[in-house]
Amino acid sequence: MIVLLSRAMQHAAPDPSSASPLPLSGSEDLVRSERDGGVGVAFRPALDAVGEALLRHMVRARVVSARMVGLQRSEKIGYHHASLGEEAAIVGAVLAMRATDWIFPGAREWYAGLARGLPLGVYVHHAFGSAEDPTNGHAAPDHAPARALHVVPPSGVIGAHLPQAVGAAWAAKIERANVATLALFGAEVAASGDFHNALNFGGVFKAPVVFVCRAKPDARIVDRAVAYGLASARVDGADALAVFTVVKAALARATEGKGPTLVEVVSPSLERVTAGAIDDAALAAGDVLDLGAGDPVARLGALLARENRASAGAQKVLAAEVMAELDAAVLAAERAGAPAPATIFEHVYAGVPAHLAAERQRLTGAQWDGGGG
Amino acid sequence: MTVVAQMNLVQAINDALKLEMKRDPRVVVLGEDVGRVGGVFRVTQGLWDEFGDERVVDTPLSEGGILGTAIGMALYGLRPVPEIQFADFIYPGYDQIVSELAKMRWRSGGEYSAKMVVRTPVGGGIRGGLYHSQSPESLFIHVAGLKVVCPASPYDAKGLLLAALRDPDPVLFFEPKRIYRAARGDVPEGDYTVELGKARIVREADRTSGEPAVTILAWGAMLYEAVAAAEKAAEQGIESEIVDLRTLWPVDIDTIAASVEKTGRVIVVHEAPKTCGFGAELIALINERCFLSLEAPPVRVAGFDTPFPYTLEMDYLPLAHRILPAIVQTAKY
Repeated sequence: MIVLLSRAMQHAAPDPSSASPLPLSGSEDLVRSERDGGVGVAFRPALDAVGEALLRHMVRARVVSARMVGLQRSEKIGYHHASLGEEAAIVGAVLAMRATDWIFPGAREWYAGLARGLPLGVYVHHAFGSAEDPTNGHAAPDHAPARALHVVPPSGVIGAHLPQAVGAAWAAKIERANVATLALFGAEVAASGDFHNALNFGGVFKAPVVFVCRAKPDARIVDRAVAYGLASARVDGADALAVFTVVKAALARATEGKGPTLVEVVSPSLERVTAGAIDDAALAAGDVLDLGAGDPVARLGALLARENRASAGAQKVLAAEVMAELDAAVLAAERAGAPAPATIFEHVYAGVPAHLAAERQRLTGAQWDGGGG
Repeated sequence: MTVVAQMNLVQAINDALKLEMKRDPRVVVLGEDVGRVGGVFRVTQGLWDEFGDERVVDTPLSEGGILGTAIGMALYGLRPVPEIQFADFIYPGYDQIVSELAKMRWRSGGEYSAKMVVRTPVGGGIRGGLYHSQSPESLFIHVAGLKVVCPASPYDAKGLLLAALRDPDPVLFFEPKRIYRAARGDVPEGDYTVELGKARIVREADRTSGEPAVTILAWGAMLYEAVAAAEKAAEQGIESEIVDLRTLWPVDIDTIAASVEKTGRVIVVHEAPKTCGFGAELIALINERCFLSLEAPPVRVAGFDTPFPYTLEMDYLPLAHRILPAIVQTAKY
């Protein structure tokens, strides 16, 4: 049931900038881009150029998530949606979109904002809910907004962001803007009504949206696409280049007015993650770049090393740099302390209505006026 | 000089939508049969012909989908006006309203907001049964981040809707369907707004006689029942001051408190079930503000704590014949 990308590429136009290089047809076949199987020659330059960016972000996502797991274990932060092993799906999809496209991540796809340029320090302030958190400590970790980067803050309601991604795409279409949206989620979302609403509305209105679903091998979420008239593809989630290429093709389809695509990314099952074998020392040391067979970070690293485009040493240096950046960010977040109590009342509405002003006055210690409301 | 036309509630709301769609190209109307058909109550009639099917959109039958996609449109920068065919059907989209629409600004630290007006008909008295008669306002007032409006007159309906469409916050706009066509009145042509958060004294109590007087708080279709009951009470020498809340949240507690301080007596009328209805909150606020002015226990004349009945709907509704005894008893307490 496994077809190499090269075989799929035989049907593609030779021009590397061709809009839809992949047949997105709900194929049974898993799309992979094994180098030894051969990525389509025509695409090699583009993939090579992007390979280093993918790897850089995936290493960063890995190290940050590992550190956040550690901070959660030590109860420095409330919790963290670990994304160890999901880096190819998340980074591959986000990097495939254009900077002008909008991203609707779930909480586990928290790295979307960082991939777009949200500073790591801001992400950590948010995780700590510090005085420097852009949400004023309103939202729990991994729910940061990045409006300037067109990243919508994840919802705590699993799947609620899917119809919103469709709505934003639909709005862009109404406004004749060349903008698409990307919705990222896990396979559990496919059980929700929001998933159905999103695929149904997206299909009906041919909204320029790309759905990327991370799933275990037996989930077969991709099979749902046909019911909604969507294109689809199933991709190896250990293969960042394959994810990137497929999502690019789905984006091209969206911008051509052909409607949404459902991409299922089959997540790798990593030994050291499933066994819970990542100890605190490993987390603290950032020794997390190879979590066992199928690790997308190790795999892309090895591929680029073979191509003489990256070395394992370079990745370790990068990991150490990220760790140092994290150290500074954690220190800054701890020093920043909690937001001022009055900030609870900010941004409930555009202004502060009288009843909230009264509550704020009571909380901040001003003398009670004896009144209510 | 402003030209004034006689309109009913449906025409006034339609006029406001048309006016704002002309003024603001970001306004998009969407919902079940709002386009070609013009909506189940014909409130959006003619919009599709004038603005086309990109701005007046017939959607699949799914309130969660309508509201979820509308939020996405609003995030992007449009001003969607989703219609929920009956408020009774809003619950499949309730999560999108409560968890997403209401909280978007707060949870993003003000970076994002999802500005929209959700229009939906409320209330009973149209032989609609339990799935076409509910008044769920308190379920939305309880949710921080939402504003809730319910007009009673065509003038207010147009002015409040235009204000709601231009307000920066999400607004639930509840339309009292029982008086959609029954309520008629003068409506100016062209642009005007009625400020959100301001109640209106519909009938003033004359305190010169020294006889007891009662404040009645009402909104939507029940306002007319309160007026009818007040006229009957006046025949018995009891003065009533009637406050049409117009905006339910944020509520105009200053106007309410001023009236209750004047009369010392208050009755709240609403169609929704009594327990945890908006009347409970209003009376709590009045107790906080006006405890020492009260000369009688505050009273609620409300729907019963049952589902809304089909056959016996006129027994369920807090109509004038149920309000009148409450006025008399409160006045004589």
